Amino acid sequence: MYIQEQIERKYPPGDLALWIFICAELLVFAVFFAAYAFTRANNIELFNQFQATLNTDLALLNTIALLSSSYFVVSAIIAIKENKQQQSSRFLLFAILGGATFLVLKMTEYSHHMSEGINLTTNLFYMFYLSLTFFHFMHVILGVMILIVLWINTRKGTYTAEEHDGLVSGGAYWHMVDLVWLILFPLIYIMR
Amino acid sequence: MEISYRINNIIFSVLISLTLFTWLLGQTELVGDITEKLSAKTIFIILLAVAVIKVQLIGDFFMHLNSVKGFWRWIITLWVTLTGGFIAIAFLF
Repeated sequence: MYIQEQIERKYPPGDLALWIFICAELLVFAVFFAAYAFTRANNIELFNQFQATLNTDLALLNTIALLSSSYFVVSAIIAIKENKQQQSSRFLLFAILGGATFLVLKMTEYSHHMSEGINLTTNLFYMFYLSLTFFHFMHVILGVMILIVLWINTRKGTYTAEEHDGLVSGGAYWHMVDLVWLILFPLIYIMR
Repeated sequence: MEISYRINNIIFSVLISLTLFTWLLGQTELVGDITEKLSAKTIFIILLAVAVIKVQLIGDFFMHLNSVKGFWRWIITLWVTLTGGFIAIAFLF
């Protein structure tokens, strides 16, 4: 029991393989963020000019949607630790809605850009903006799919107070998607 | 530390407040006075610090890393320091 506790304290909760995957993902995003920042340093006027065309209100709503979704994932884990499967699945449903809201808002933003003829070749700023946000967008899609699987499993009673590693691992991935956006939001939409 | 509904609510409220603060700072017409008094570099440092704090809160409380010891305890701290460091160098120098 003592040894087991020591092992649990040494490693993050959930599947360790998933944490290694999360680290790899974070490293890729770190490289993209650094590339954006250093490219901007050589094109400050261009980046400031076109950054001003972005909709910061939608970006704010997107941030709130992702944070709320993460909040509900944590609530779902707390509920499952109390063996309340029904409550947990309800929280997960709210988390899925948060993720879906993000996707709908981002698609609205993309369709607005497309209607204005903006694409990857428009200029250097839009090349970074579109590729970075779309790369993150793809992670949100995967994250929502994971949340749907977790929701189905929770409804089926797969997770219990004693065994809920799958839920914790899926939650950790979703939080990773969230924290990447927490850097992306000020970096691309706000910082000048 | 095991997270409870109460701690979850507090962390969520802090995250939302910091997000609204970041957004408000970006609305120069709303916080014009502040941005006029403080230099652009100071505003940038505040924005970056707020982002780093938010990421750390997610790592510590939502990802439960505050209950882990050793290398994994600091994995998000390491990432956000590295990423924030690169961004700071690019913007400030």
